Parts: sequence; structure tokens; C-alpha cells
Amino acid sequence: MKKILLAGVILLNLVIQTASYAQPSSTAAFVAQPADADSSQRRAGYQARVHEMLTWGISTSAKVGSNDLVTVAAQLALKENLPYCSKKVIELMGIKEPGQKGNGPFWMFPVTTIAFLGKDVLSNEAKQAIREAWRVNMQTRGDTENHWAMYYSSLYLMSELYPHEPENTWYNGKSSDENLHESKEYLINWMNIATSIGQGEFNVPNYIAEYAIPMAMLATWAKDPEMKKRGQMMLEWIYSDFAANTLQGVIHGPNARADDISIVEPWNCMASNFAWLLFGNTPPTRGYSGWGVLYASIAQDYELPEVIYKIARSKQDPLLQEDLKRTRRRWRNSDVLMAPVYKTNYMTQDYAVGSYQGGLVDPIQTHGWDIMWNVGDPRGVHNTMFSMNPISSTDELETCFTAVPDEMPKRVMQEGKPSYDFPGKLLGSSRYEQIYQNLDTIVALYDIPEGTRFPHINGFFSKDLTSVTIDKSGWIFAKGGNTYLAYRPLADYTFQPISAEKSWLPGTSMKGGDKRLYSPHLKNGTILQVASAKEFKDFEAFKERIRSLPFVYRLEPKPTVSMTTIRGNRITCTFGQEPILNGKVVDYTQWKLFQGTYLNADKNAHKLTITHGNLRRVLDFNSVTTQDN
Amino acid sequence: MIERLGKFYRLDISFVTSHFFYTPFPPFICNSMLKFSFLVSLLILIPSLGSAQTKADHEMYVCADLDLGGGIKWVTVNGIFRRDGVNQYTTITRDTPGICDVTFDPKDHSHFYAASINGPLATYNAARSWRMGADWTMTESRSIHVDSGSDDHIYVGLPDGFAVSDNKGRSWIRKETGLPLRGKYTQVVSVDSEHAGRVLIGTESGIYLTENTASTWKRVFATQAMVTDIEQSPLDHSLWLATSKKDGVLVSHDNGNTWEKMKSQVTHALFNIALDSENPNRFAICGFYEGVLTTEDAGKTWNVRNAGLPPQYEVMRIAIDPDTHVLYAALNRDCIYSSSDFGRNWKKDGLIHSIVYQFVFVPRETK
Repeated sequence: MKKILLAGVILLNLVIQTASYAQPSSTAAFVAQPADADSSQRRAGYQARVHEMLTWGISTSAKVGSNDLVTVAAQLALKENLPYCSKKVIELMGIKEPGQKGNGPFWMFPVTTIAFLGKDVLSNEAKQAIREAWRVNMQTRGDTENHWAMYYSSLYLMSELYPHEPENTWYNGKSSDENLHESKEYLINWMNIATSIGQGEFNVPNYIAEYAIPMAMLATWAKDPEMKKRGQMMLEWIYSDFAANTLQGVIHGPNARADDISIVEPWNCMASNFAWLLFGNTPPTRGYSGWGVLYASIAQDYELPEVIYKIARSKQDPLLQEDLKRTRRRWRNSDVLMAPVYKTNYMTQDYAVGSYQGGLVDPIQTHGWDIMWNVGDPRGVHNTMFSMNPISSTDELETCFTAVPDEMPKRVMQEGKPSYDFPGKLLGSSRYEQIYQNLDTIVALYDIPEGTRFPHINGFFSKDLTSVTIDKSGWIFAKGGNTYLAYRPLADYTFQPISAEKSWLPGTSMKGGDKRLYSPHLKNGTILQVASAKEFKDFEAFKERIRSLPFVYRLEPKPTVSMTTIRGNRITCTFGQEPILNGKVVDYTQWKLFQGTYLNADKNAHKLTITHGNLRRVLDFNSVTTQDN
Repeated sequence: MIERLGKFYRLDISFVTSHFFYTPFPPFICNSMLKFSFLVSLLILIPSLGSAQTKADHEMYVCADLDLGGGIKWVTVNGIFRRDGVNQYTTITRDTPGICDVTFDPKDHSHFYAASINGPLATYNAARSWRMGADWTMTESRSIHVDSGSDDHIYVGLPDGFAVSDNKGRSWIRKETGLPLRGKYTQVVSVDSEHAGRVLIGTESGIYLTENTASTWKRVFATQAMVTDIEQSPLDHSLWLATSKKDGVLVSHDNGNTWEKMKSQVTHALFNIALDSENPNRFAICGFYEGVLTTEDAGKTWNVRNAGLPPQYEVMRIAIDPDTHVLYAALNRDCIYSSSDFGRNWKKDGLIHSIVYQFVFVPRETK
């Protein structure tokens, strides 16, 4: 796993570094594509953005002599500099130094891309070099859902490209037929799980590429019509979910695996690059977040269904989705292999609120809940608010990873998750947090045992909030864009500055910077209510409305809140018990796979209905068909 | 065996003795000059085979991640390394996927099997190529062992159970009757050296025993947390010892049928236990926060032996050489240390900037 992650990080860094030389859309003033663009306008816009990415990749290559696989793929996609591509491929495939030759899914999927893009244009020697690399370089399969999607999609396609070859021609000692069979079986199994009980790595700000690219590869190059169709359908499945979870192109809400940067600056992640490319409604990120160029190399001719575009661009106000996802695989310390995740997404034109019910999803990177307010240009803006318990736990790591006891916290920080064992971190979720969301109200309760490493609450207060007011009532009021926010800590707290460089480190000054609400009490809680400014005469009216709402709580023996929300719903939340809404216990077991404004699917049905206005598209994995009407 | 070491090739005598007559040229020796050099080398080396056999009776192998970044930037390769002397660790295979255990065919050391992140791996040509015998349903194998009575039977511990190969690792089948639906995370597989088909495994929920090649299992010790290692005494085959995450050291005096906790002062997880092949009262244990502890009275008293190790003494693995009785301790991201006086004094032994997952001592091949 560590080698894969490291290889991925190195390659990604290389791509991002080379990407920093020229990039018009990420730094230029942004003009969104019209939300009501017709199909030809959408098509032209998409192709222009693809072209920007590819030509940027090539020009960067010319300037700095970039030699990475992604740049070669971009050149092949544009059919430019082909002799150089052949030469470079031979060089890249021929690396013999231990630790530097290709290994794992982050090597496999760009090389597979090159193999297909170069099938008719690379020299025979270059193609032979690729083939030989797949014979001699043992490939690490990895340990995450995205690793396996990349690994098996790549192996599937390469086995189709080199059919019926004997076992001694593949790194894993299996024949082409064996590899093809195993890859297909895994991919279908994965799709079956995702379309029945939900994705494990759901709503991911950065890992979207690790799913979009392999699915686009299948959709573009699979010979088997079923796998080609499946690739296309999974891509639409992912994109429709993505579209429903973006507010003006910026992804929000709970997710399985976030990162320290996008946790405070939601725009600053790979997903924004995909929103720019597919929807045209937010600027791309620096360097197209690395893998963006590879995706553009593969999906030059991709056509996003109109219904998904409409969901991204013309949202009903408000939007409500209550969807089912699942946790990361739990090897131990759990009665179940994967637990259900109940995800809520509520969105208006001015803000979005999202959450899941709390508990362990991924032990390092899960983000439990947030509110994100809309901003004109999201670049550099920390338009989010949330709280969390920054637990660090070898037991939780052991639950999901196969590491030996005690050693892993130190390891993960040295291998790409630097904030994990810091008390000031904002990334991560906790089994000692229980969350309930009703529309735009969040109740997050904490019951942290003595002895827990980092037994406190971190609440994030952005530098971009205005009119922050600590009210006598106990509420903290603030404005974010056109949104009014009311944050109610349930235990004493202090505000601490956050480092401008690294969000998990203490800062030295409050001036102009983000703040951490620090509350060291084991029994604790956060209430957050938000509303659009346009709903109230002024900010004072919002405050008065919040103050007037019935609200009682106690922290012993278990944190409990009973309140009426800003929308008039009566909720009671007690840690360790199911929430009660308007006198009725919330029954999560009845949740469907998707239920809401745009996406609907029954649990275990393998069939998603995507709607917007009079547009309707059905992805039916039972028959492997799509239907529009 | 010939191995590539940077730009050079290394000829391994033990491999030649077992394979010379079958495979005169490794596949990559393709030009006539190389073939000539190869034969000349053999002519020089074959007379010295006798002297090679006079070395220690066991070879020591290490499964480890090795840092190529020199401790500054953590750039790892994973592989199997053979100890040839102080600061002499020879690469057997690198750039392999997360190998944490290895077991050798006792009759033919070019056949060996690895527990890896890709599941169980098998090689039949000294790691020149591998076969991933299991499919996607088996991954991140933790421990692997050849049966003591049948070279065809290989056992592998998985994070979600246990599997057996009856065809030298070409394919695998789960054998979990008697294991719980949950709680079968198998960290260690230990075969009874005296009885074919008899295996003990250390899991999340305790120690399980099979006496019929894993057709059925029964729990012989219940725990609430991982059993991390199980070892059979090389001197008294009815004596077994185990380490655990929360129960300290465990001992069985009746060939693994019943177990009890042994008194010790440890408060943190233990990673493994090593037993001396000469003195039946000598054991050593280790852990990330415990460092090294030894006993020389069969566990009545335990001695902390961290003096001379780096201050953090994050010990990942420990071993006792069955021939020299040297105690080895692998420090996290540091190197292997050795002690000739059972932990009283330590010196660096090599494999700098490594994370060691397993030490394996292999009897030299019988010719």
C-alpha cells in the first residue's frame, strides 16, 4: 500500500509541478459556461477545455522537458511529437533501478492509456517495451477501493490488448485469459456492490479521478461491449452523484476521504477540475490536479448526458438527497465487514449542508459534516464550517488496515497523511461523534471516553466569515456570503489561531487567519443552523429567530439535545440513540440507495433513475442498459 | 541462483547445486560470451561446494521495506533479503508487493512462497518470476507456511480468514470451518514441525488449531485482541509460546491444545517471540513500545534489554539464530541490531533504514 501511495504522490507531484508553468483557466478571471447552454455549446465548451489541458501539457513538456507518463499520454492524444513519444516510452519502460520502475495502479493506468492511445502510432519497439514491462514489473494491487478500480481496469484492458498469451508473459504468472476473467469478475463485483449498497469511497474531493479515469478507460477502449457499457454507466453513476453534491461546481459535504487542504478550502481539490471540465462552472485547480490531463487524454470524445449537466448547473432550491453509502472494509474490531453510511445533502442557491450519521468510515481521512456557503470565485476562500473530534487511534487504524499494532500512526504521517497524529487537525471523523441532519440544521454530539488520544473538539471558523458574534445566548452568529450561520457549542471553549501554512498546526495570530474552536470537554456537542440572508429582514432578525427557537440540552449522562429547528421541525438527539424527528424515531434501515430531488434508486436494485425537469435517464445494471425519456 | 545486483550478477551456490543439471543457463544469459563465463564460473565454484556446506546450518532471510531515500525521504522498496554476514544483506527480490512473510520448500529453495499485499505469491525459480495464485478474493496475506509433512501444502493467513493450497501455491481455497464469521483476522500461521496437517493460527479472537490440514478448526484460546505470533519450541515440541496485543505472552505445555497467560511486566502490544534452539529456558519478545525483553528462566522473570538500542527502541521484530544463538532485533526505520550475549550488548548488523516484518531461518537444502 505504502509503495502505491508513494508512487502516486510522486507522480502526482511531478505532474502538478510541471503543471505550474502555464495554465490560463486556473489563474485567469473565470467566466462560467452558460447554465442553459445547448448541446452544441456544451460540446464545444468541453472540447475546448480538453484541448486547453492537452495543449498545456504539451507546451509544458516542450518548456521543461517533462518526462512523465501523463505528458506522453497528452502528446499521443493530440498525435503530436510521436517520435519523441516512442523514444520516451522506451526510456520510461526500461527503467531498471529498484524502486523507480513502474509499480502499482498509479503506474498501470497511465501506461495502459499510453498503450491504447499509442496502439497505432508508437513504434514497434515502444510497444514491445510496454509489453515487456507488463511481464517483468510486478504490480502491487494496493489496499483501497480506488487502487483496485485502477488496477483491475488496467489489467482488464491490457489483457484484451494482448489476448490469449501464456502465463509467463505476465508479471503475475497468470495467462491473458486468467487475467481477463479475474479482472472482469472483480470489476463487476465492485459495480454490484456500489449499485446495491453504495460506494465506499463516496463523494471524494480528490479521488474522483481514480474512479473516473479507469471507468473512462473501460468506456473508451474495452472490446467487450458489456464492459464498455458498464464503464460508461459507472462513469455516469459517479458523475450524477458528483453533480448533485456540488454547489456552483464546488463539492461539499461528508466524504470518505478528504485531505487537509480541501477540508478548509473546498474548491481546492481534484473534483473542481472535473466540475470545470464537465460542467464549466468553476475554475480548474492548479495543474488540473495532476491526473486531469490524463483524463482529458482518454475522454476527448466523452459526452456528458444532459440530465447530469442540468443537475450540476440548474439546481432546484432547495435540493434534498438522502443516500446510502458504506464504510471502508473493516478487517477486524468490527462485527461487520462494511457498515452503512447514511448521507444527507441539503442545498440552496446560497449554501449547502451535508452530513452522515457519524462513526468510523475511513480511520484517517473521513469528513463528517459541513456547511459550505456559495461564493463568486471560490479560489482561496475558506467557505466552510464544521466541528470534529480529532481522534488518533491505533485501534481504528488496525480496523481498516493490516498494520501491526502501535506502529501505524507514525507511519501514516510519514506517508502522505501528515496531520493524523496532531491534536489540531481538522481532517478525520470519530466513532465518538454522532451526527443528525434535518435540512439545514446539524446536531453533532460527542461522547469521548477518558484516555482517548486528543479528547477534544475542533470547530473550524474561517477567515472568510464576517460579523462573527458571540451571543449571550450561547450561539455564535456569523455571515458567510449570502448565508447566515448560527453555531452553538454545548461546552466551554476557546478560540485558537490556526497556522496559515498547515491547518492542523497552531498559528501565532488571529489576525486575518482561520480559527479553531477548541473545547476540551468529553461530553460535548455542536448545533449549527443556517439560512439564506434573503429569508430575513437583516442579520439581527436571523439572530432573533434562532434565539427564539425552543432549545434544551444536557451533557450527562449522555449528550442530549431537544430543539425546534429554524424550519420548525422538532428534533431530539441523544448520543447512542436514534434521533427523533417530530416525535418519530428516524429509521435509517428504511433508507434507499438514493432518495431525493434528482437521484433515486432502491437498495440492492442496481438501478438508478436520474431526473431533472422533464429529463430522465435510467442506469440499469441488471440489464446493463441505459434508457432516456 | 544468479541474481542481478545493480550491474552485476551474483552466483548463489546453493541454487546451482540443486538446479545446475536442469537449467544450465538462466533465461537472461543469452549470448555465447555470457554462457562461456557462466560455465567457467561453475567450474571454479563447484569444487568449493563442500566448503559452502560447512557454513551454518541455516540461512537467515528477512522480509522488509528498505528505504532508498537514505532516511531523509522515505522511498521504499519491499523485498526479501538474505543475511550473508554483518552488514551483508543480499537482495533476493525487490520491488515486490508488500511481502511480510516467506516460507521455503524444504527440498528446493528456489521454490518459495510469500505472504504479500497481493495475496499469496509463489515462485518456482528463485523469484525470477512469481505467480499470484489467489484471485481478488484473497488479499493482504499476513503469514504463510509450508506444511511440515507435505511440500505441496501451503497455508496462508488472511485478514479475513485462512486458505490452503494443495498444489504448491498455484491456486488457493479457503478452509475456515470452525473459524468465526467475524474475528478470523489471521496474523500468524504456525505449523507443527512434528505432525503433518497440524497447524495453529493466531487471530483476532484467539488461537485456533487444526489437526486435519485445515478441514476443521477449533479454538484453543480466546482473546479480545490480536494474537501476533505463535512459535513451537525447537527443543520441546510440546511447548508452544505466543504473543498478543493485550494478553502478553501465552504458553502451552501440551502441544498447543491448551494455553495460559504467562506472567510478564509488559503493558503494550507484543509483536513476536523467539525461542533459542540450545537453551530451553531462553526466550525473547519484542514490541513497538516495549522494546526487547528476554528471559533465561523460561519466563519466570523477564529482563528489559533495550540498553544499547536507540532511545526509541521501536522494535518491530526479534529473532534468535538457531546456529549461533545471536539475538537479532529490527528497529523501526533504523536497522537490524545483533547481540551475542542475549541482549546485554547490541551492535548494528545492517539493513539500514528498514522496516522488518519477518525473520526466517531456513535449514540449508539437503543435497
